[in-house]
Amino acid sequence: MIDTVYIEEEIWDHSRTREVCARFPKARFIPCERYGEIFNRKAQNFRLQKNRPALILAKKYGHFILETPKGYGIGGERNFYFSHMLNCIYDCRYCFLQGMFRSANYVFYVNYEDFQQAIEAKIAEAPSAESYFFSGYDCDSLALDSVTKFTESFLPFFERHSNAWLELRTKSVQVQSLLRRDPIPNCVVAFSFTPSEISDVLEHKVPKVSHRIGAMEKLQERGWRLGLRFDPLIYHEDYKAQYERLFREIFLSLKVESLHSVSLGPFRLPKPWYENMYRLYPDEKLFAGPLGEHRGMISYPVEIEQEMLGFVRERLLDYTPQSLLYPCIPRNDPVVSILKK
Amino acid sequence: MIYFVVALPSEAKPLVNRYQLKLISSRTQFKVYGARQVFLIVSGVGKIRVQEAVRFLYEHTGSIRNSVWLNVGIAGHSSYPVGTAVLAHKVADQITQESWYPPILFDVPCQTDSIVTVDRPETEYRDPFVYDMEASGFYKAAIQFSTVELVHCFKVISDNRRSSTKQVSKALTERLIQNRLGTLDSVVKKIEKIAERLPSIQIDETRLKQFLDHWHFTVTQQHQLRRLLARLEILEPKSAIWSSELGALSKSKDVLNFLESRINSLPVGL
Repeated sequence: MIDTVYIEEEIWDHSRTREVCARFPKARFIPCERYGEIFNRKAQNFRLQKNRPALILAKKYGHFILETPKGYGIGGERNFYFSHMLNCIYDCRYCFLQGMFRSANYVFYVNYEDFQQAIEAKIAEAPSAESYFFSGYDCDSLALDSVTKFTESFLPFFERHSNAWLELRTKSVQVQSLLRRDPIPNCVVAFSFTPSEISDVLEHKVPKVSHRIGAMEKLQERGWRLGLRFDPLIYHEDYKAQYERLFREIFLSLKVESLHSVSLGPFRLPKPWYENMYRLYPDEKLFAGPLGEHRGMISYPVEIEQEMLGFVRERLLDYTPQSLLYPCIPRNDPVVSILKK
Repeated sequence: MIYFVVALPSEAKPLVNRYQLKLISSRTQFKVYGARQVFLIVSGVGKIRVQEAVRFLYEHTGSIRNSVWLNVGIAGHSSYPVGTAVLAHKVADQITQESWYPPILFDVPCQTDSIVTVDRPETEYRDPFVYDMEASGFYKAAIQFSTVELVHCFKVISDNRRSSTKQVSKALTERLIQNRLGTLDSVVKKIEKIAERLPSIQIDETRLKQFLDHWHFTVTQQHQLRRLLARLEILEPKSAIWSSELGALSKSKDVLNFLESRINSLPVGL
């Protein structure tokens, strides 16, 4: 699967580097000084690289933990995100990563201990408050867990910090590491979904919706707290029927009691990222359709966005209480009112 | 388009024969050979010469971006047997300390290694690298004109600790490259396959001309027009856009708004 591994010289002998390399005995291992000289170079083509991404093992310096934009959260006031990896093994056409990064290679930061120190520092800033840490913004939290051993390291860590929440956000069905151990109450395993018909067209290499629901069921039986993420919402002619079917399928298998949160968000991209994505996939109907610029972001027209958010919210309320529903929208955005009616 | 860049005539000869290239430019500072979609330039030795050659070749063959670029030549290594073919997975410049990492997105029919470009022939082979005199100059120049995935350096080992550079003759150079043409050919085909996946925005030029003949569009508006027509082509392939309503519009801005409205009114499919 991975035939090239770039390794920063500084972490060549790091134990996590050795463990990861051992998983790819046939790969070529290439030393580099800093990962940016591969990952951030100009004149790269994300689309071409996506066919055969390399793995870059790196050490992260600073900016371990970042605040989420205001309005993004699942019930807490203190919301942060961190990325032990950049990029994802899946290839979702709507994904902002392909617009944000120049390279499709996977960057894996091996210095978990520094992330954990930074998380502890954030927790210490407000020890009596609950802090939320989202791990799946720039990557899929679980898809490469067998390689990165992310959960093996971070679940015990969060287990020791009961006033901090960890969100694992994923489209993966690689949940064995979670099933093998006891659940921790301050971890939300959140699965992202679009309806099967949309997923089949836009979410390349992603496990089928039914398989993801199956993975959630297993986690539910084991006692893990679950999250549902409908972000981004993808518009097209038959979206209503398809989202209805999706919700029916999900809630046939999941109990509301297992749910920690359900969030939904519109399809929006900063204009420069959209431009990059359009250049990569000019033949993609998603980008050719009714998208326009609104307040510096590329999105569906306001009326479509409002209609979708309103409809999806209503249908979700057939299954879940309002208290579990969270919008992923900036706090001052007019459409927030639709979601909080 | 495939561009070969070699330093020496003896490196060029096997390629010229293999791809049936004809000399198309000899009065200029570089000899250039070409046929159909393949061009070859003989740069001379050293990274400055090769940088100039890359720019020359690009500008004198239509300045076509995102083509396949290959630096082919001989190189030294401490222990690799003479005749070993190597594709660079890292290119470093010994003097400037700059490095590049050509992404190899295909199964390689030979070994890969780091190439270090030196200003003088390396005869001591201190480190276990492949030593040459052009790769860094070539790579730095070629990625100005193409995406990095299509730019590669292919070397055949001509000297090592047992067989010194003094033994490298024109005839040996020619034979070494000749013997590795099969491997090189395989690399070229694989890179070409990757190049085929490059996206391109498809525009019906006849349709575009119809608009440009009818209204005056500023440069910015021409970009917008091209984008809107491309989007329409994706959403409604081969559909008729022209109508009396459109033809009656007097301002180019209104034409762009008309096309935008049409896109927004189409049923949205995936």
